[in-house]
Amino acid sequence: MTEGIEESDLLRFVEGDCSPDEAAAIQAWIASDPRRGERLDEVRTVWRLTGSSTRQWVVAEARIRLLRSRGRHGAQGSTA
Amino acid sequence: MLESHFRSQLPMLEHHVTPGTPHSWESAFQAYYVELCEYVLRFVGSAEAAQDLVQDLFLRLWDSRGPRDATRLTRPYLYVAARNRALKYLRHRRVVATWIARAACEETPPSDTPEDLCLRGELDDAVQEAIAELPARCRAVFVLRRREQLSYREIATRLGIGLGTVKSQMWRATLRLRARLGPYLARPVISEDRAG
Repeated sequence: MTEGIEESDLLRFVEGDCSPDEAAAIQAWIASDPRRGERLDEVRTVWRLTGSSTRQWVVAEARIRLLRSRGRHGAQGSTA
Repeated sequence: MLESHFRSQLPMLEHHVTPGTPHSWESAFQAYYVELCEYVLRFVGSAEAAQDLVQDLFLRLWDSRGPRDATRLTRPYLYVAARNRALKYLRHRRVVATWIARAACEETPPSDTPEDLCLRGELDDAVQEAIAELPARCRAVFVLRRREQLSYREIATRLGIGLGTVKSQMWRATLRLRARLGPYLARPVISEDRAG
């Protein structure tokens, strides 16, 4: 399950560019060696220092998805 | 009279939201959606999964909205709820126990204080310097990704290089920055007295 995973795949993992299955494989890969966990922490720290967020989250779309799934009620009183 | 006036204002200052209205839910969503996604991503490693989990949390809060919103639509509550959902998701997907144990240690990131912002300002100069010192192609790739938020594919097109090169240059940049910023990483970003 963890075959073919390389250290540089930690980038995709930190940025969240993995499918849930890929993420699970990388989690198992990290868990099998403490040094990989340390490397993960380092990548995360570099990311934290070089930007305010890990990736671009599309808030507006998420909000629309939520409001749609709960009908009109959610749309009331919101102009943002 | 003046005193009672101030006292009546206090609860409003403590809770930026008015309980039980669509507006309070909206404000909580606008204020915390991104940071909760960031937090849950640390557990799950997939942005797709993180967004779904945070969305489910807000749906649940919407469906059960009411008087308890005053406590539930707050940063501490939302973080605990998001964390529980993330851990439940990992167990449900039968992710290895070692990872779940690691994830369970994720703490709620502290909200920024003026001291944090000041420390970060100092750190920022060192970070900018370290980025400026990267080899040209490495720097170009890193900046397009982190500052301009382009996808790997867009970076490949923009710079006329292969996708594999973009990935390897990104990794190279990360390792170099890590080495270069090592002395700063060793020091806690949060001041000692606050941590203790």
